[in-house]
Amino acid sequence: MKAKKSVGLDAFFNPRSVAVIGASRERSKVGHGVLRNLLTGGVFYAASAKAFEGDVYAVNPKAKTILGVRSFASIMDIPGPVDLAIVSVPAPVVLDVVRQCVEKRVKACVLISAGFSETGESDLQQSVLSAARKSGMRILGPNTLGLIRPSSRLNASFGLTTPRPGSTAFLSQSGALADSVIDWALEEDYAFSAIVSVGNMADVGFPELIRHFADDPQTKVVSIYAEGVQDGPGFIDALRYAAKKKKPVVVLHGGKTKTGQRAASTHTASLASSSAVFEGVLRQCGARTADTLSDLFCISSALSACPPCQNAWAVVTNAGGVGVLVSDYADRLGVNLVPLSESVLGKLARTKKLPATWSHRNPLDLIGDATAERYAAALDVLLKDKSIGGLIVAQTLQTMTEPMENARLLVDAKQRFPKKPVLAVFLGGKYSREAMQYLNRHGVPQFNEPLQAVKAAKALSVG
Amino acid sequence: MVNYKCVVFVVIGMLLDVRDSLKLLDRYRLSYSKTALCERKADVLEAAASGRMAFPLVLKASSRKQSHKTEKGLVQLGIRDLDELSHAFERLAYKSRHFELDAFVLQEQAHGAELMVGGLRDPVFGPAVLFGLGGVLTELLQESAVRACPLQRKDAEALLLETKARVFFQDGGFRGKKAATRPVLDVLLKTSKLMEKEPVASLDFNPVMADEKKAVIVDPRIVMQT
Repeated sequence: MKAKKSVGLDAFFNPRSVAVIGASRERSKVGHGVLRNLLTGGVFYAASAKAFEGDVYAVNPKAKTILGVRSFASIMDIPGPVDLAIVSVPAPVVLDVVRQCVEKRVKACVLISAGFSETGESDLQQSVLSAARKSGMRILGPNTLGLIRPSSRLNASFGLTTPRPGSTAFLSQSGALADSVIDWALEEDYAFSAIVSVGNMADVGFPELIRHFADDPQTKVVSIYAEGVQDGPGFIDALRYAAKKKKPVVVLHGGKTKTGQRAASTHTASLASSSAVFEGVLRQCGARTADTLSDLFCISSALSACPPCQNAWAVVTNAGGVGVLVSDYADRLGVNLVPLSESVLGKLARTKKLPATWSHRNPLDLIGDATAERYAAALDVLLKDKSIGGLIVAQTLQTMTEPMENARLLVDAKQRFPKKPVLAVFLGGKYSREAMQYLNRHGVPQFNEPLQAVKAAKALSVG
Repeated sequence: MVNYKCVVFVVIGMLLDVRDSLKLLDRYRLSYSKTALCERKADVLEAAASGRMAFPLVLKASSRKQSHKTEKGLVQLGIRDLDELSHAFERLAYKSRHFELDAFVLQEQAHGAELMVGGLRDPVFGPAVLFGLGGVLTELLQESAVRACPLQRKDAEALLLETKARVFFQDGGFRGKKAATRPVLDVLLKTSKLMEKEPVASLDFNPVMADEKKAVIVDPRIVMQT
């Protein structure tokens, strides 16, 4: 039984020096992209992409310099210590490279190279693992995209760029999926404490990563795309550990159907366990399950931005239709929309800000011509009331609507009532974009679809 | 809630006959309908006349080699008296004349909600217990809920609420049928113990008949590991 101490993973996420073995001058090579990602934060531009501040070395016997970085013939020739090695060389050479890393006392190794257990070369994978164990060097992969730690300005991957630092740790059994998630994160303004492509999980697997991020002060939510796990009891223990540390774990499980399971076994070499048992285990250990990729991030972003609350929600809207949809979904998913008490109705009336036609019930319809002032009055009364645990605030765009003012109101409400989740459903596109971004950037989860807001409310509800 | 189709029951192993199945249930104090295992017609009639069993009774011609007993006419339900029992025996004996029988099984007919409790051994997570609606509804609705062993009481409680079978445990019940929580939890927890301790590959208790007082296993099907 190997040690499960999460201290063993620090060199992956906070190294002082990094070497790229198999660094290349050719733009089409993985070893080129990895080096550029280290040097700039991202091959693709993003404001959040920053250059790694520690030492960066290239290893390539045929080059003197690559991208302005001095290149060494072997890792053994590098003068200083190397904490993290990123290896992108053909599979048959990997064993020698790993032995050299062990000799060099490299602490952690990201093994990007493919051609191991996922293609039936399990013996080679085992040999690599045995070589690494001689010094206790840890291995992520093989067959991984790599990892990104935005707060350490570390993009140790061939993923396109670095998203903003945040509090969601995303672990993915599919590397390419992680790539799309990054692109999408830039658009939707999601932020991450880490993105880790787990690859074949020869050494570092889900259990150890879950424990690591349960202990990571930056991480509030661990978000996982999993096709299968290898160490069942270890996975169960890790989920229970995260639950004890009050770090929610959200899992999207791929490979559920028979066709899906076949695809999984040829994709990443894991023994996909029967999905019914897997989902049962997730529920048993207090993890949340997501049905789709967008659900995974909706739920994760809500859990990372908001505190949990009692299952007692109020809805404020300027469109009857959105209120009806939210009510339908809430009913279906078991999210409790509380009736507004006489006292709350009285207080709302006494604000004298509501129009004669306001709905007098939950969902609270402020009517289409609602201005920010009207929203402000409603928010204040509802959030102060003890019977209301959290708020869903919907906005449709009409000529008199003030999206930016409304967005600021919600951010302000979040600060004044830190114990109550506030979820935004600003429905729209072009002319709502600025407000949506403002909300996301300031920690008010924004959903462009009422169903997703209700799913987020469900995930936040306790009891 | 999960799709029942996804659960892979690997039936490689040894199917226990009705005698050994009941012995295993006894060892874990899992309750089943009052049962007499008989070889001949005289045994069947004597068991029914002894006063230890109450009509209506059920008679089954039990063979490990035959599943879907109902469809093959190897089960007679609702036997009201000795005369009907005698006729039922003749019919079953005729229908099963080409089979190798383990026993004629005479049981008190159970009533209530039809539930299903299963046990399986997952390659990654080990033994697990499965729960859902029983009888023909199991296949129709294709839903069941699973928890890994050892089951805690809260896990068993969650199982009761996770599938449509929850209606039987709610206040009004469903169509006049209502099940008490405690005896069903008891079956789940004992099944968990059995799965942990015995070399069982998979098992099926379908149906488990539950009413407001008790839950009894009617048809155990237990496959041992080889």
